[in-house]
Amino acid sequence: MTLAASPGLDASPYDDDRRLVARCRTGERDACEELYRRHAPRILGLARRMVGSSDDAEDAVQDVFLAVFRKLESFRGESSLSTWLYRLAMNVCLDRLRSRGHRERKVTDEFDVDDAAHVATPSPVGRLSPGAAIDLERAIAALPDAARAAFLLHDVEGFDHGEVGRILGIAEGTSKSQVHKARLRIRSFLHQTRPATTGRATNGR
Amino acid sequence: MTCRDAESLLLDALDAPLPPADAAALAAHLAGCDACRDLEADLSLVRGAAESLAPPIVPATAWPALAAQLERDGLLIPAAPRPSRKPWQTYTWVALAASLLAGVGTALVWRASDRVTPAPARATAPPPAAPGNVRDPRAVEAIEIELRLAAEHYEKAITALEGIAAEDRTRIDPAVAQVVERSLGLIDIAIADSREALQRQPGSLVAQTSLFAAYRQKVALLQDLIAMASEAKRTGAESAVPDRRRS
Repeated sequence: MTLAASPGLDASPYDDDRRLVARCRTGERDACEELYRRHAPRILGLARRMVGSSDDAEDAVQDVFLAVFRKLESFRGESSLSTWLYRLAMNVCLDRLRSRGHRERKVTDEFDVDDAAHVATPSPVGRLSPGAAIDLERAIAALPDAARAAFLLHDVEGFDHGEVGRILGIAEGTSKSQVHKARLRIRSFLHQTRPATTGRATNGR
Repeated sequence: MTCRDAESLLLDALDAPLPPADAAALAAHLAGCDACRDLEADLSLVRGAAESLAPPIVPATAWPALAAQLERDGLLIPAAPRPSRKPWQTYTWVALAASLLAGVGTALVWRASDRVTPAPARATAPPPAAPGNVRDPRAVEAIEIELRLAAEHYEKAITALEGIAAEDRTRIDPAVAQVVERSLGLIDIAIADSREALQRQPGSLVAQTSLFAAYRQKVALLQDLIAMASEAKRTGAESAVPDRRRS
Protein backbone atom coordinates (compact mmCIF):
# COMPACT_ATOMS: atom_id res chain seq x y z
CA MET A 1 0.00 0.00 0.00
CA THR A 2 1.36 3.38 -0.86
CA LEU A 3 0.61 6.36 1.29
CA ALA A 4 -1.16 8.09 -1.54
CA ALA A 5 -3.45 5.13 -2.00
CA SER A 6 -4.16 4.59 1.67
CA PRO A 7 -7.75 5.24 2.56
CA GLY A 8 -7.91 7.28 5.69
CA LEU A 9 -4.31 8.43 5.52
CA ASP A 10 -3.04 11.70 4.24
CA ALA A 11 -2.44 11.75 0.53
CA SER A 12 1.05 13.22 0.73
CA PRO A 13 3.58 11.38 -1.39
CA TYR A 14 6.20 9.34 0.41
CA ASP A 15 8.92 11.78 -0.65
CA ASP A 16 7.04 14.59 0.95
CA ASP A 17 7.16 12.79 4.31
CA ARG A 18 10.89 12.19 3.90
CA ARG A 19 11.52 15.85 3.18
CA LEU A 20 9.43 16.75 6.18
CA VAL A 21 11.39 14.38 8.42
CA ALA A 22 14.66 15.90 7.22
CA ARG A 23 13.43 19.36 8.18
CA CYS A 24 12.17 18.12 11.55
CA ARG A 25 15.60 16.71 12.33
CA THR A 26 17.01 20.23 12.23
CA GLY A 27 14.47 21.32 14.84
CA GLU A 28 12.55 23.44 12.37
CA ARG A 29 9.45 24.46 14.21
CA ASP A 30 7.08 24.73 11.25
CA ALA A 31 8.09 21.29 10.00
CA CYS A 32 7.59 19.65 13.40
CA GLU A 33 4.19 21.26 13.73
CA GLU A 34 3.23 20.18 10.21
CA LEU A 35 4.21 16.57 10.93
CA TYR A 36 2.20 16.68 14.15
CA ARG A 37 -0.89 18.23 12.57
CA ARG A 38 -0.73 15.86 9.62
CA HIS A 39 -0.76 12.71 11.73
CA ALA A 40 -2.09 13.60 15.20
CA PRO A 41 -5.83 13.35 14.43
CA ARG A 42 -5.64 9.77 13.16
CA ILE A 43 -3.23 8.75 15.90
CA LEU A 44 -5.66 10.22 18.44
CA GLY A 45 -8.50 8.25 16.86
CA LEU A 46 -6.47 5.08 17.06
CA ALA A 47 -5.47 5.78 20.68
CA ARG A 48 -9.05 6.52 21.77
CA ARG A 49 -10.26 3.25 20.32
CA MET A 50 -7.36 1.32 21.75
CA VAL A 51 -7.25 2.70 25.32
CA GLY A 52 -10.92 3.62 25.61
CA SER A 53 -10.59 6.88 27.54
CA SER A 54 -10.29 10.30 25.92
CA ASP A 55 -7.92 11.63 28.58
CA ASP A 56 -5.72 8.57 28.41
CA ALA A 57 -5.73 8.76 24.63
CA GLU A 58 -4.66 12.40 24.60
CA ASP A 59 -1.83 11.61 27.01
CA ALA A 60 -0.88 8.66 24.83
CA VAL A 61 -0.72 10.86 21.72
CA GLN A 62 1.62 13.27 23.50
CA ASP A 63 3.80 10.30 24.50
CA VAL A 64 3.73 9.02 20.93
CA PHE A 65 4.89 12.30 19.43
CA LEU A 66 7.52 12.86 22.10
CA ALA A 67 8.87 9.46 21.13
CA VAL A 68 8.57 10.32 17.44
CA PHE A 69 10.63 13.50 17.73
CA ARG A 70 13.13 11.94 20.12
CA LYS A 71 13.64 8.95 17.84
CA LEU A 72 13.47 10.78 14.53
CA GLU A 73 17.21 10.30 14.07
CA SER A 74 16.67 6.55 14.06
CA PHE A 75 14.02 6.69 11.31
CA ARG A 76 15.85 5.34 8.27
CA GLY A 77 12.99 5.43 5.81
CA GLU A 78 13.02 1.65 5.38
CA SER A 79 9.31 1.65 6.12
CA SER A 80 6.92 4.51 5.44
CA LEU A 81 6.68 7.24 8.04
CA SER A 82 3.09 6.19 8.71
CA THR A 83 4.07 2.59 9.41
CA TRP A 84 6.86 3.73 11.75
CA LEU A 85 4.60 6.21 13.49
CA TYR A 86 1.73 3.76 13.95
CA ARG A 87 4.17 1.18 15.33
CA LEU A 88 5.25 3.67 17.99
CA ALA A 89 1.62 4.59 18.63
CA MET A 90 0.49 1.00 18.99
CA ASN A 91 3.36 0.24 21.38
CA VAL A 92 2.39 3.20 23.56
CA CYS A 93 -1.28 2.15 23.56
CA LEU A 94 -0.58 -1.49 24.36
CA ASP A 95 1.84 -0.47 27.14
CA ARG A 96 -0.87 1.73 28.63
CA LEU A 97 -3.42 -1.07 28.48
CA ARG A 98 -1.02 -3.42 30.23
CA SER A 99 -0.03 -0.88 32.87
CA ARG A 100 -3.71 -0.23 33.60
CA GLY A 101 -4.00 -3.84 34.63
CA HIS A 102 -5.77 -5.16 31.60
CA ARG A 103 -5.42 -8.83 31.12
CA GLU A 104 -2.10 -9.15 29.36
CA ARG A 105 -2.63 -10.34 25.87
CA LYS A 106 0.07 -10.64 23.28
CA VAL A 107 -0.86 -9.44 19.84
CA THR A 108 -0.41 -12.98 18.52
CA ASP A 109 -3.11 -14.32 20.84
CA GLU A 110 -6.07 -15.94 19.19
CA PHE A 111 -9.68 -15.92 20.27
CA ASP A 112 -10.49 -18.82 22.55
CA VAL A 113 -11.84 -21.95 20.88
CA ASP A 114 -15.48 -21.46 21.91
CA ASP A 115 -15.50 -17.93 20.65
CA ALA A 116 -13.92 -18.90 17.35
CA ALA A 117 -16.46 -21.66 16.87
CA HIS A 118 -19.27 -19.26 17.63
CA VAL A 119 -18.26 -16.73 15.02
CA ALA A 120 -17.04 -19.18 12.42
CA THR A 121 -20.46 -20.58 11.58
CA PRO A 122 -23.01 -18.25 10.04
CA SER A 123 -26.23 -18.42 12.01
CA PRO A 124 -29.66 -17.44 10.73
CA VAL A 125 -29.81 -14.24 12.73
CA GLY A 126 -31.00 -12.04 9.88
CA ARG A 127 -29.50 -8.93 8.46
CA LEU A 128 -28.36 -5.82 10.30
CA SER A 129 -30.09 -2.59 9.47
CA PRO A 130 -27.83 0.30 8.48
CA GLY A 131 -28.76 1.96 11.80
CA ALA A 132 -26.75 -0.67 13.63
CA ALA A 133 -23.59 1.07 12.45
CA ILE A 134 -23.93 3.57 15.28
CA ASP A 135 -22.96 0.82 17.72
CA LEU A 136 -19.72 0.15 15.88
CA GLU A 137 -17.60 2.07 18.41
CA ARG A 138 -19.00 -0.04 21.24
CA ALA A 139 -18.47 -3.21 19.27
CA ILE A 140 -14.85 -2.26 18.60
CA ALA A 141 -14.33 -1.46 22.28
CA ALA A 142 -15.60 -4.92 23.19
CA LEU A 143 -12.99 -6.67 21.04
CA PRO A 144 -9.95 -8.30 22.64
CA ASP A 145 -6.90 -6.02 22.46
CA ALA A 146 -5.12 -8.02 19.76
CA ALA A 147 -8.12 -8.25 17.45
CA ARG A 148 -8.98 -4.60 18.06
CA ALA A 149 -5.45 -3.52 17.13
CA ALA A 150 -5.46 -5.48 13.88
CA PHE A 151 -9.00 -4.42 12.96
CA LEU A 152 -8.31 -0.72 13.59
CA LEU A 153 -5.12 -0.77 11.56
CA HIS A 154 -6.64 -2.68 8.64
CA ASP A 155 -10.29 -1.77 8.35
CA VAL A 156 -10.22 1.72 9.88
CA GLU A 157 -6.75 3.05 9.06
CA GLY A 158 -6.40 1.28 5.72
CA PHE A 159 -3.11 -0.57 6.12
CA ASP A 160 -2.76 -3.87 4.29
CA HIS A 161 -2.11 -7.09 6.18
CA GLY A 162 1.63 -6.97 5.49
CA GLU A 163 1.87 -3.51 7.02
CA VAL A 164 -0.34 -4.46 9.95
CA GLY A 165 2.04 -7.36 10.54
CA ARG A 166 5.05 -5.03 10.53
CA ILE A 167 3.36 -2.56 12.86
CA LEU A 168 2.24 -5.19 15.37
CA GLY A 169 5.20 -7.52 14.96
CA ILE A 170 3.05 -10.43 13.81
CA ALA A 171 2.83 -12.57 10.68
CA GLU A 172 0.70 -11.36 7.77
CA GLY A 173 -1.50 -14.43 8.13
CA THR A 174 -2.05 -13.67 11.80
CA SER A 175 -3.16 -10.17 10.90
CA LYS A 176 -5.64 -11.58 8.41
CA SER A 177 -6.97 -14.08 10.92
CA GLN A 178 -7.38 -11.44 13.64
CA VAL A 179 -9.14 -9.01 11.32
CA HIS A 180 -11.53 -11.67 10.01
CA LYS A 181 -12.42 -12.79 13.50
CA ALA A 182 -12.84 -9.20 14.63
CA ARG A 183 -15.35 -8.55 11.82
CA LEU A 184 -17.37 -11.62 12.75
CA ARG A 185 -17.28 -10.74 16.41
CA ILE A 186 -18.44 -7.19 15.69
CA ARG A 187 -21.33 -8.57 13.68
CA SER A 188 -22.22 -10.87 16.52
CA PHE A 189 -22.02 -7.99 19.03
CA LEU A 190 -24.27 -5.81 16.90
CA HIS A 191 -26.89 -8.56 16.64
CA GLN A 192 -26.79 -9.13 20.39
CA THR A 193 -27.14 -5.46 21.27
CA ARG A 194 -29.61 -4.50 18.56
CA PRO A 195 -31.77 -7.57 17.95
CA ALA A 196 -34.67 -5.43 16.75
CA THR A 197 -32.67 -4.30 13.75
CA THR A 198 -32.45 -7.73 12.22
CA GLY A 199 -34.42 -7.86 9.04
CA ARG A 200 -35.20 -11.36 7.89
CA ALA A 201 -35.37 -12.67 11.48
CA THR A 202 -38.62 -10.82 11.88
CA ASN A 203 -39.97 -12.40 8.72
CA GLY A 204 -40.26 -15.83 10.18
CA ARG A 205 -36.94 -17.24 9.00
CA MET B 1 -19.38 -25.49 -0.73
CA THR B 2 -20.20 -25.35 2.98
CA CYS B 3 -21.29 -22.20 4.83
CA ARG B 4 -17.93 -22.18 6.58
CA ASP B 5 -16.15 -22.14 3.20
CA ALA B 6 -18.44 -19.34 2.06
CA GLU B 7 -17.73 -17.35 5.22
CA SER B 8 -14.00 -17.61 4.61
CA LEU B 9 -14.37 -16.43 1.01
CA LEU B 10 -16.68 -13.59 2.02
CA LEU B 11 -14.05 -12.37 4.49
CA ASP B 12 -11.30 -12.70 1.88
CA ALA B 13 -13.42 -10.80 -0.63
CA LEU B 14 -13.46 -7.78 1.67
CA ASP B 15 -9.66 -7.57 1.41
CA ALA B 16 -9.13 -8.29 -2.29
CA PRO B 17 -11.07 -9.54 -5.33
CA LEU B 18 -11.46 -13.31 -5.33
CA PRO B 19 -10.03 -15.51 -8.08
CA PRO B 20 -12.72 -16.13 -10.73
CA ALA B 21 -13.27 -19.78 -9.77
CA ASP B 22 -13.77 -18.91 -6.07
CA ALA B 23 -16.02 -16.00 -6.95
CA ALA B 24 -18.20 -18.26 -9.12
CA ALA B 25 -18.43 -20.95 -6.44
CA LEU B 26 -19.33 -18.37 -3.81
CA ALA B 27 -21.99 -16.84 -6.03
CA ALA B 28 -23.55 -20.24 -6.56
CA HIS B 29 -23.61 -20.87 -2.81
CA LEU B 30 -25.08 -17.45 -2.02
CA ALA B 31 -27.86 -18.02 -4.54
CA GLY B 32 -29.22 -20.77 -2.39
CA CYS B 33 -28.26 -19.68 1.16
CA ASP B 34 -30.12 -16.89 2.93
CA ALA B 35 -27.83 -17.00 5.99
CA CYS B 36 -24.69 -16.44 3.93
CA ARG B 37 -26.35 -13.63 1.98
CA ASP B 38 -27.16 -12.00 5.33
CA LEU B 39 -23.57 -12.49 6.40
CA GLU B 40 -22.34 -10.90 3.16
CA ALA B 41 -24.56 -7.86 3.71
CA ASP B 42 -23.56 -7.48 7.35
CA LEU B 43 -19.86 -7.76 6.66
CA SER B 44 -20.13 -5.09 3.98
CA LEU B 45 -21.97 -2.90 6.44
CA VAL B 46 -19.31 -3.38 9.12
CA ARG B 47 -16.48 -2.76 6.65
CA GLY B 48 -18.11 0.36 5.25
CA ALA B 49 -18.83 1.75 8.69
CA ALA B 50 -15.24 1.10 9.80
CA GLU B 51 -13.83 2.94 6.80
CA SER B 52 -16.03 5.92 7.47
CA LEU B 53 -15.09 6.40 11.12
CA ALA B 54 -13.91 9.98 11.33
CA PRO B 55 -10.78 11.00 13.25
CA PRO B 56 -11.45 13.15 16.32
CA ILE B 57 -10.41 16.77 16.65
CA VAL B 58 -7.10 17.21 18.46
CA PRO B 59 -7.40 19.69 21.37
CA ALA B 60 -5.96 23.09 20.51
CA THR B 61 -3.70 22.99 23.58
CA ALA B 62 -2.01 19.74 22.56
CA TRP B 63 0.58 21.11 20.13
CA PRO B 64 1.71 24.06 22.32
CA ALA B 65 2.17 21.67 25.26
CA LEU B 66 4.15 19.23 23.15
CA ALA B 67 6.20 22.03 21.58
CA ALA B 68 7.10 23.36 25.04
CA GLN B 69 8.35 19.92 26.04
CA LEU B 70 10.30 19.55 22.80
CA GLU B 71 11.88 22.95 23.38
CA ARG B 72 12.96 21.85 26.86
CA ASP B 73 14.47 18.74 25.29
CA GLY B 74 16.33 20.87 22.76
CA LEU B 75 14.53 19.19 19.85
CA LEU B 76 12.68 22.26 18.66
CA ILE B 77 13.91 25.74 17.84
CA PRO B 78 12.18 28.08 20.32
CA ALA B 79 9.49 30.32 18.90
CA ALA B 80 10.25 34.01 18.54
CA PRO B 81 8.76 35.86 21.53
CA ARG B 82 5.47 37.54 20.77
CA PRO B 83 5.23 41.25 21.46
CA SER B 84 3.70 41.69 24.89
CA ARG B 85 0.13 42.93 24.85
CA LYS B 86 -2.00 44.42 27.56
CA PRO B 87 -4.46 41.99 29.12
CA TRP B 88 -7.41 42.99 26.98
CA GLN B 89 -9.83 41.15 29.24
CA THR B 90 -9.74 44.07 31.69
CA TYR B 91 -11.14 46.45 29.08
CA THR B 92 -14.71 46.92 28.08
CA TRP B 93 -15.51 46.35 24.42
CA VAL B 94 -15.66 50.05 23.71
CA ALA B 95 -12.42 50.83 25.53
CA LEU B 96 -10.72 48.06 23.62
CA ALA B 97 -11.99 49.37 20.32
CA ALA B 98 -10.71 52.82 21.25
CA SER B 99 -7.28 51.47 22.10
CA LEU B 100 -7.14 49.68 18.77
CA LEU B 101 -7.80 52.92 16.95
CA ALA B 102 -5.15 54.68 19.03
CA GLY B 103 -2.67 52.00 17.95
CA VAL B 104 -3.47 52.60 14.34
CA GLY B 105 -2.83 56.30 14.88
CA THR B 106 0.83 55.48 15.49
CA ALA B 107 1.11 53.97 12.05
CA LEU B 108 -0.37 57.06 10.53
CA VAL B 109 2.14 59.39 12.17
CA TRP B 110 4.80 58.38 9.71
CA ARG B 111 2.43 58.87 6.81
CA ALA B 112 1.82 62.44 7.87
CA SER B 113 5.50 63.20 8.45
CA ASP B 114 6.35 61.64 5.10
CA ARG B 115 3.96 63.96 3.34
CA VAL B 116 5.41 67.12 4.88
CA THR B 117 9.01 66.16 4.12
CA PRO B 118 10.18 68.31 1.20
CA ALA B 119 10.88 66.06 -1.73
CA PRO B 120 13.85 68.10 -3.11
CA ALA B 121 15.73 67.66 0.17
CA ARG B 122 15.65 63.89 -0.33
CA ALA B 123 16.78 64.26 -3.91
CA THR B 124 19.69 66.61 -3.24
CA ALA B 125 21.06 65.60 0.16
CA PRO B 126 23.31 62.53 0.09
CA PRO B 127 21.98 59.79 2.33
CA PRO B 128 23.95 59.22 5.53
CA ALA B 129 26.00 56.03 5.80
CA ALA B 130 23.61 54.59 8.30
CA PRO B 131 22.31 50.98 8.35
CA GLY B 132 19.19 52.14 6.58
CA ASN B 133 21.13 53.82 3.82
CA VAL B 134 24.02 51.47 3.13
CA ARG B 135 25.79 52.34 -0.13
CA ASP B 136 27.65 49.06 -0.71
CA PRO B 137 25.53 47.41 -3.45
CA ARG B 138 26.07 43.93 -2.01
CA ALA B 139 25.01 45.08 1.44
CA VAL B 140 21.99 46.82 -0.01
CA GLU B 141 21.03 43.68 -1.88
CA ALA B 142 21.44 41.57 1.26
CA ILE B 143 19.27 43.94 3.25
CA GLU B 144 16.62 43.90 0.55
CA ILE B 145 16.56 40.12 0.59
CA GLU B 146 16.23 40.11 4.38
CA LEU B 147 13.45 42.65 4.18
CA ARG B 148 11.60 40.69 1.54
CA LEU B 149 11.80 37.49 3.59
CA ALA B 150 10.63 39.27 6.72
CA ALA B 151 7.76 40.86 4.82
CA GLU B 152 6.77 37.49 3.37
CA HIS B 153 6.84 36.03 6.89
CA TYR B 154 4.49 38.72 8.16
CA GLU B 155 2.20 38.44 5.17
CA LYS B 156 1.95 34.69 5.61
CA ALA B 157 1.08 35.09 9.29
CA ILE B 158 -1.45 37.79 8.48
CA THR B 159 -3.14 35.64 5.84
CA ALA B 160 -3.47 32.78 8.33
CA LEU B 161 -4.83 35.07 11.04
CA GLU B 162 -7.27 36.69 8.63
CA GLY B 163 -8.64 33.27 7.82
CA ILE B 164 -9.30 32.52 11.48
CA ALA B 165 -10.59 35.99 12.21
CA ALA B 166 -13.03 35.86 9.29
CA GLU B 167 -14.68 32.80 10.83
CA ASP B 168 -14.89 34.39 14.29
CA ARG B 169 -15.98 37.88 13.33
CA THR B 170 -19.69 37.07 13.57
CA ARG B 171 -19.37 36.45 17.32
CA ILE B 172 -18.30 40.03 18.00
CA ASP B 173 -20.54 42.98 18.66
CA PRO B 174 -21.25 44.61 15.26
CA ALA B 175 -20.24 48.06 16.51
CA VAL B 176 -16.88 46.76 17.71
CA ALA B 177 -16.42 44.78 14.51
CA GLN B 178 -16.99 47.98 12.53
CA VAL B 179 -14.27 49.79 14.48
CA VAL B 180 -11.92 46.85 13.93
CA GLU B 181 -12.65 46.89 10.20
CA ARG B 182 -11.84 50.60 10.12
CA SER B 183 -8.61 50.00 12.00
CA LEU B 184 -7.60 47.22 9.66
CA GLY B 185 -8.33 49.47 6.70
CA LEU B 186 -6.10 52.21 8.11
CA ILE B 187 -3.30 49.76 8.80
CA ASP B 188 -3.57 48.45 5.25
CA ILE B 189 -3.16 52.01 3.98
CA ALA B 190 -0.09 52.44 6.19
CA ILE B 191 1.36 49.18 4.85
CA ALA B 192 0.73 50.23 1.25
CA ASP B 193 2.29 53.68 1.83
CA SER B 194 5.32 52.19 3.58
CA ARG B 195 5.84 49.76 0.72
CA GLU B 196 5.62 52.56 -1.78
CA ALA B 197 8.15 54.59 0.20
CA LEU B 198 10.47 51.60 0.34
CA GLN B 199 10.26 51.20 -3.40
CA ARG B 200 11.32 54.80 -3.80
CA GLN B 201 14.04 54.54 -1.14
CA PRO B 202 14.92 50.88 -0.51
CA GLY B 203 17.45 51.83 2.18
CA SER B 204 15.16 54.11 4.17
CA LEU B 205 15.26 53.08 7.80
CA VAL B 206 12.16 55.17 8.50
CA ALA B 207 10.17 53.41 5.79
CA GLN B 208 11.36 50.00 6.95
CA THR B 209 10.45 50.75 10.54
CA SER B 210 7.07 52.05 9.52
CA LEU B 211 6.32 49.01 7.35
CA PHE B 212 7.17 46.52 10.06
CA ALA B 213 5.40 48.55 12.72
CA ALA B 214 2.28 48.39 10.55
CA TYR B 215 2.70 44.65 10.06
CA ARG B 216 3.06 44.14 13.82
CA GLN B 217 -0.01 46.24 14.47
CA LYS B 218 -2.04 44.22 12.01
CA VAL B 219 -0.91 40.92 13.56
CA ALA B 220 -1.68 42.22 17.06
CA LEU B 221 -5.08 43.54 15.97
CA LEU B 222 -6.03 40.25 14.34
CA GLN B 223 -4.87 38.38 17.44
CA ASP B 224 -7.00 40.68 19.59
CA LEU B 225 -9.95 40.11 17.29
CA ILE B 226 -9.60 36.35 17.62
CA ALA B 227 -9.18 36.65 21.40
CA MET B 228 -12.33 38.78 21.60
CA ALA B 229 -14.28 36.21 19.62
CA SER B 230 -12.98 33.38 21.82
CA GLU B 231 -13.95 35.27 24.95
CA ALA B 232 -17.39 36.05 23.50
CA LYS B 233 -17.83 32.37 22.74
CA ARG B 234 -16.69 31.36 26.24
CA THR B 235 -18.89 33.94 27.92
CA GLY B 236 -21.84 32.88 25.81
CA ALA B 237 -21.29 29.23 26.70
CA GLU B 238 -21.01 30.00 30.42
CA SER B 239 -24.11 32.17 30.46
CA ALA B 240 -26.01 29.45 28.64
CA VAL B 241 -25.28 26.83 31.31
CA PRO B 242 -27.63 28.19 34.03
CA ASP B 243 -30.38 28.56 31.44
CA ARG B 244 -30.09 24.91 30.52
CA ARG B 245 -30.11 23.92 34.16
CA ARG B 246 -33.29 25.90 34.74
CA SER B 247 -35.09 24.38 31.82
